[in-house]
Amino acid sequence: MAKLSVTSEQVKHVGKLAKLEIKDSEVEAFKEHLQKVLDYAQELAEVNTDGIEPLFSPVYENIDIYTKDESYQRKDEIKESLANEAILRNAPEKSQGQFKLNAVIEEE
Amino acid sequence: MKDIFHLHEQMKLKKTSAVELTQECLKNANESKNPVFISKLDDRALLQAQRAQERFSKNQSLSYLDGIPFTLKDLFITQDIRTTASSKILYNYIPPYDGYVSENLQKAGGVLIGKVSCDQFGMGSTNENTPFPKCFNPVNDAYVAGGSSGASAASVKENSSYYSIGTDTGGSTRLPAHFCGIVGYKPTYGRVSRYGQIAFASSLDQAAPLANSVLDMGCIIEHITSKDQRDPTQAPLGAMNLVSQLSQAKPSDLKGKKIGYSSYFIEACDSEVKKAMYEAIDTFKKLGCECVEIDLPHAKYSVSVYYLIATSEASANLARFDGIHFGHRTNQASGLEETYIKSRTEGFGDEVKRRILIGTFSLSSGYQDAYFSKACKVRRLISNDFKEAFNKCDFILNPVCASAAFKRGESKSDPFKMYMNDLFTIPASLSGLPCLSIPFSQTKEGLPIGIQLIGKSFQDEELLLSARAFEVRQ
Repeated sequence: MAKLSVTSEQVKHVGKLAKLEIKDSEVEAFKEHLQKVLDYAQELAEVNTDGIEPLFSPVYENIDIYTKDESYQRKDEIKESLANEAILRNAPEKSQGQFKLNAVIEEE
Repeated sequence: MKDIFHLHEQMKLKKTSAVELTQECLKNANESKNPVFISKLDDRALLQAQRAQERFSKNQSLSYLDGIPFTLKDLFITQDIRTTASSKILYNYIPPYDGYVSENLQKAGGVLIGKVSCDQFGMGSTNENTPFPKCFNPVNDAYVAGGSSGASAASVKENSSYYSIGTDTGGSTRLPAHFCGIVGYKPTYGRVSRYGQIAFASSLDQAAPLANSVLDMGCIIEHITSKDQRDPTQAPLGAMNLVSQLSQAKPSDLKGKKIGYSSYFIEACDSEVKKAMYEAIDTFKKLGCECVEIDLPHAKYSVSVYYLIATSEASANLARFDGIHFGHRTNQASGLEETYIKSRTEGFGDEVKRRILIGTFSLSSGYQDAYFSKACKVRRLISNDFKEAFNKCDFILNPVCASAAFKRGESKSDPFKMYMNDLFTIPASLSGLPCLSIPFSQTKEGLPIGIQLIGKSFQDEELLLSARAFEVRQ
């Protein structure tokens, strides 16, 4: 893991990936923060992880406890879901029982 | 304040009642200057209390929790009750369904006093990362209540509720319990269903009660550990029935137990916490425990590992907030893409944005191996260290934080510095281990100091029983 110097362009690019707008006035502060975290995380480079499997969730450490009872996964059954009205209750905009949103196809 | 266990006995004997307890909590809440509540439910709570009282009058009480007032961190989905995640993006969100925790506690007869504040989406250690008024420490108002479940701890400490359910991702329940002088218990990851708990980092998030005693934890945990088919990461172990055993626990039960501790962590604390930790070791020894030094060689990397993994998971989890189906939608956008960007940019607070950016970066093309994957490998090593350590001891004693409560406003100056405070609580979280913070001492200024006990995976019962035995020492 080579030491990385974060640029303003990178911060804006990551913002774009995350669908967040980073204003010019904010770039510096976000960049500084990201840089601090990455600099600090540099310490992980000194840990030898050759042949070590990544651990994504504690579930995998206890899989025996989970699988000894089949109830840990639900059956694939059709069940009643919420009513249309309930689903739409929090919609910012709705129309004719559906979510309403802006034009999906935008002009070039 | 009395234990839930004893209040239940008194309610059965008609020496007190659900309505009386509820009125008292509401009075305390209404008289408090601390902005703990986001939604207070006076009328609804009184109605629930009346129903509970009727059950008691017919000798048909439902459980130890029947008629007992409680609060929920506003990250728990409550049907028809506004649920904000303490954020602007969910400012007006009223869920059409009930989450597991809310459903089960009310089914047990619990009286829901209200939904309480927290750091937005559970991201923070001070309860200051929120667009709502910032709550403070009931012990001393110059200090924070901790976070992210700060208001949960405050509601218990101020006697506005007898317990609260918070969430703990990297210490969010243990820290406020330590700051406010109450008990905070994070069950083993997978013990409580996360259905209806607004997600921050799914491999770490766990519902976690805050209460006045370990005995109370037994009364609470029984009702939030039954198997819920809606969360496949919840282990199918069934409800934890521990109340009668807890009520009989005595200090001599600790005789012969082995307590592990790591000087690395204790020495990293300020003088007052350090002193308390060595006193705690002495106390355990006096109770007949053997205290042994353990080594957790990779735990010192926990902060790096956590802030790459938790933010990565958060960046994925928070992708659902797009302004389309629910939550804040901008009125400044013309097209769909702009709707996403502006709704999210307007709706999320700075700390949430910072974490989404870190997570998106660490998962992005070209960096994933060096950051996210590397962190997950070190996570495995941290987990292995614990397994090794538990060959030498039954529990691990650790500080909760390097200091007692922080001054208000301190977190603003350097958000990155705040991350370092999680060093003591994160290792157990990364390994999914059960752990709790119990009050032990205080600073010269009178701020509470707690100690943290960490147990073996899915051995929550042993952890709680020993913590109770410690709690009832003379």
